Amino acid sequence: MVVSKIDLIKIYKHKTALIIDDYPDMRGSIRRMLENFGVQRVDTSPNGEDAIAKCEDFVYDVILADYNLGDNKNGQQILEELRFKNLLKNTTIYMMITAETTKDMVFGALEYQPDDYLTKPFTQGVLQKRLDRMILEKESLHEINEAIDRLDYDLAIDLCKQRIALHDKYEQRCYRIMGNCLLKKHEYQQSKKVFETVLEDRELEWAQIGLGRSLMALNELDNAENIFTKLIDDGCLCMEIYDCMAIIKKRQGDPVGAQKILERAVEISPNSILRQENLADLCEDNQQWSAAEKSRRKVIRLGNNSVYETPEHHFKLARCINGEIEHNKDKTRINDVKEVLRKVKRKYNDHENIELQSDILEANAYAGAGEHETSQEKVNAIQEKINSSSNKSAQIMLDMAHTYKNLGQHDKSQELLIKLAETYENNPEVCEQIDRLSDEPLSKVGKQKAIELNQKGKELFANKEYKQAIQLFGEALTHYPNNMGLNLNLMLALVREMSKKGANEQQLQRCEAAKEKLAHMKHDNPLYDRYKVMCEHYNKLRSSL
Amino acid sequence: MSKDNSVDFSLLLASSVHDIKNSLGMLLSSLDETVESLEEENPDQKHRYSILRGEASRINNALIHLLGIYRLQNDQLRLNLDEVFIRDFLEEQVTSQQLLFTVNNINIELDCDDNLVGFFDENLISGIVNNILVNCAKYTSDLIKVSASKQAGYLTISIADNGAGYPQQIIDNIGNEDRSINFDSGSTNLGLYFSSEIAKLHQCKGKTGYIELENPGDGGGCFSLYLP
Repeated sequence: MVVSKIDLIKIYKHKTALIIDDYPDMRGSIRRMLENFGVQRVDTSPNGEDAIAKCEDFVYDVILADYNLGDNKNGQQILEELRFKNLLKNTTIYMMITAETTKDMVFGALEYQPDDYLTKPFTQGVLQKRLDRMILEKESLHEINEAIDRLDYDLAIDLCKQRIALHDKYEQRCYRIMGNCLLKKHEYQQSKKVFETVLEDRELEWAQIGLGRSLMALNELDNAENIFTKLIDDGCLCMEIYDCMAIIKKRQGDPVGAQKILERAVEISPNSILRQENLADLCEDNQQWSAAEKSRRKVIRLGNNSVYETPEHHFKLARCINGEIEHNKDKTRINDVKEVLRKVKRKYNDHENIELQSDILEANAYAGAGEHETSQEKVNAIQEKINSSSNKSAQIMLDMAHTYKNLGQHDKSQELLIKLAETYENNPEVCEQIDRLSDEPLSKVGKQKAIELNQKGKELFANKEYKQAIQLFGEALTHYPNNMGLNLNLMLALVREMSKKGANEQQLQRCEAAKEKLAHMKHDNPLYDRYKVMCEHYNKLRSSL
Repeated sequence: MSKDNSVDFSLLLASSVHDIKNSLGMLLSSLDETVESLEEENPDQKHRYSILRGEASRINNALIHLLGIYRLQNDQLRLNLDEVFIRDFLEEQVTSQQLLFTVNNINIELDCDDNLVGFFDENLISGIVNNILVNCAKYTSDLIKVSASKQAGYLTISIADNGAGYPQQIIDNIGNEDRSINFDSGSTNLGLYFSSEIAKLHQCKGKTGYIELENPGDGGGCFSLYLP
């Protein structure tokens, strides 16, 4: 649809608008301006909560939000929450009003950027010009945006192609929309091509990010890394690039590097919950307990009164401290776990299974610290509760399996995990958790991965590249810390390396940690003989030092 | 603060400028409201307020330039390259100074294709265009022509007036690579210095932005900004 400016007056008559500003004077002033343009209905909100409630009841065509709303949610957080709750259509204009002349306030992902920024102070004339421009654009691309709102990406892409053929001023916009639709459709070869086409003419940030994301999905990790490194070095403010970079590092088998990247991002922009959670996960993988705990606590603080708030954040903190307890056999921190659990029980006392979940994590804290008697008493009580509970989440059963494991009851643990692997066969997240806890991979994906790893390991052993083998198995163990085959292979690689270059304390310690993980191996296990041989090697090397 | 209690002067200046700019922002918006409320009752007063607003605008522009140059020298200035619809952009710049043009009886001619698109830092370039417009309003006799087009891979934005034209010394200075800001001449040409530096920051595929000043034969002065 081609819309001329003369039609604008008619268009305004059918528009509705919401103004979000904490100053009544400002609300009144902008309202008068919009009414002068002919906007049919103008509502106002003094804060985010009220604004979001209004958006739940009514779909506005234009939302003007001040960035700084005092102590309340800021304009950016409102935008994210509206998108998160699916209350903001692509056909709606979201304009952010800022006091600064720059967009230096760091905004998260491209997806969460407003349609336009307006810098204070502005005159009625300037607001009108800006709104005219946005309204003309939204009207011109209305069918495309509507298709995206209906998730009909094929139609949106088709419409974009038609529009691009006109070579008018919306050409670039359409390339951008088309690239993003292709990403959403997982058509990464095609999205790559679209972004490359744009980049031939000009190094535009959004196209570079889009290309980087396409390359990541196509597993061209090094190429993607180059793009994101350049964007970071150029000082790109879009925090999404750090998230992508961390994923790349992790997939390249460098979780420490991934952690560093996210730590940088969190320093620049500390208020993204999802990023803090990712960082906490990485810190736990890297056994950086105090850093992990700090991020977990930050997540809880940020989550307060937000859409992301959930008791699970508190449980994750408890699991994090449990991880540290288990790792250091540290009894002194059991009370900290109990404190966390007390809080979550008080705060969410009406939630289902809060008590049960808390009890299991407490039992696990004792089990991890080696206080098996206390833990067992609690487990006995829990078992009754579990039997009578109709709704047992995967998480509850996973925590239970973990507790049995820490209690040394490996059969019970394994039995639970096998059952879970059957029930949640198609849930990759649960499968990953199962394989992390299990002695051997139980999920299809996990089994496949184990085969690949063993193959790679065999090649490295054949070429006597023990150092690389240590790295390979060490990294794999951050994902599957309990896997027997991996632990045994790591022992083998360490023993071979030390036989070649001499024993050293650090490698002996790693060897011992792996040995401990295998200590509960049964005599009839096919790996048992190899395990015994490795133990002898280890003892010899230990006494040689 | 260091031991001898001395503070980095440029930092001090930059943060003061920031404060002044905020106050000025308030001043500008309340001036707008005052002028608005005066409407037709008192044309004479309205004229005077408009001049006030014009001067406040000039101060605001100068401060934006100062801050910009401070950031430039400290490598804190980062371009936010964005796709910009040129016609909308230029109309917006003109609108923001409409009051000044109206009270001075200046006609604005805008010549720009509706489908013309550019890629630049909208805020910074708007600072440049605004500065030139406010200056032209002071020196033109009754006309300002704003035009934009695409030529040889460059987007060209030209602002011409029918006043006395630019002094030859300023025109010469623009082309001079080692020019400096001359504090003795009374006019520092800060705006032009800023414009030239910002234009240079805009680069694409081996091309670099620049500015040009000339006094075309038919009278008046013409400022042109070229962006790759």
